[in-house]
Formats: sequence, C-alpha cells, structure tokens
Amino acid sequence: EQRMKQPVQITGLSSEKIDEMYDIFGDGHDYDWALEVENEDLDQNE
Amino acid sequence: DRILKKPKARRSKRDEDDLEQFLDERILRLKDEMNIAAQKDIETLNRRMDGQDDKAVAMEKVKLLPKVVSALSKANLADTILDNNLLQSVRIWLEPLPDGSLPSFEIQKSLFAALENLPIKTEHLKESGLGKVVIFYTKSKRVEPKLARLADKMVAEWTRPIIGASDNYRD
Repeated sequence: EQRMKQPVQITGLSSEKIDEMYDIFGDGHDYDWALEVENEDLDQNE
Repeated sequence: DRILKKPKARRSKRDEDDLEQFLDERILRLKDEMNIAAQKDIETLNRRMDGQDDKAVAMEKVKLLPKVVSALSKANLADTILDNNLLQSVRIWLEPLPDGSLPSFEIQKSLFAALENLPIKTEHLKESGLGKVVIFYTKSKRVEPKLARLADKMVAEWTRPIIGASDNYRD
C-alpha cells in the first residue's frame, strides 16, 4: 500500500536535518495507538 | 462630515500597535475556546465509554467550528494565527479521540482546507506539533482518500525546506 510507506526518505541527511525532522514529525508513530484500534476494528468486521 | 474623512494614511504607530494587540487577544481567546471545546468533547466521550451516559454526544467542537473556520480563512489574520500558535489547538482538534476514533469528517475537511492556505513554516510546526498529527492522517485507513492525499502533500511541503531539495517550488 502506497500510503503505508515512509513519507520521506531520510537516509543521507545530516544529523542536524534529521533532528529537525524529528522536531516536526516526531518519530512518525505518536498516534499509532489509534491505528492499532482501527486494525482491531477492521479485524472484527471481517 | 469631518468624522468620515478621518485620513487612513495617518494612522499612527500607536493605532497599529493597538490593532495588533487586539488581534492577538482575539486569537488567544479563540485558542482557549478551542482547547476547552476539545476537553469537553473528550470528557463527554469518556462518560459514554464508562457507561455513565449512553446518549452523550460530543458536540462542542462542531459547534465552535464555524467560528474557527472563519478565523482561519481570513488572510489578514494569518500572521496572528501563526505567531500565537493557534495551530496547537488545530492539532488538538485533529487528534484521534480516546476511543481511537477520528474527529468528525466536517472538522477534518474544514481544518485541512484551512491549513492548506496558511504560510506554515518549520518553527510553527515545532511549536504546535501539527506535523505529528498530519503524519497520522497519512497513515490511517479511515481517512478519506482526498484528505489523505492532502496530508501527504503537506508533509512533502513541510519537509522540503529542511532537506533543501531543489525543485520547481518557491520555498
């Protein structure tokens, strides 16, 4: 699934830029708890 | 007659400062209202989840939404909105609720449309945490495809100035 892929490719960036990315987007998993809930719901509906 | 002719060009520095302060206060008040509405909706949802009140419906955000959208869509308020970190409240409004559900589609759609038109810079994202919740919108399967694409686009736009990729965009 296209939407599941990482929004940005961060390899090859300076550590400064990577820090900046973290400051803005976190580790990208801040709300994963809500994704887990939705996966449970999907499983139940199947 | 004289009152009507008050010259605009001679607006003093003091008047401008007053106006700026007035707008700041207006946005800060809206921010408070948004945070209170979000908190009340969470409490309502918690009451329903606890079985205390089956019929409780969280409506505070939806009720305040027209006012929020109106402020966010005014171009002359954009700087005031960004300077006063109203995006933090927008982030709170877009966050999934305690049961994992998303805010109403109306809220998602209106806020994303408004965000698209704001000149959001890296510093505003750092202050507000907005980027983190927008990442969530790129991942959730429950997000309407159009909005998910918009979220993807925003993440790409916000990433560009950091990684310094050169392409056809002005930033």
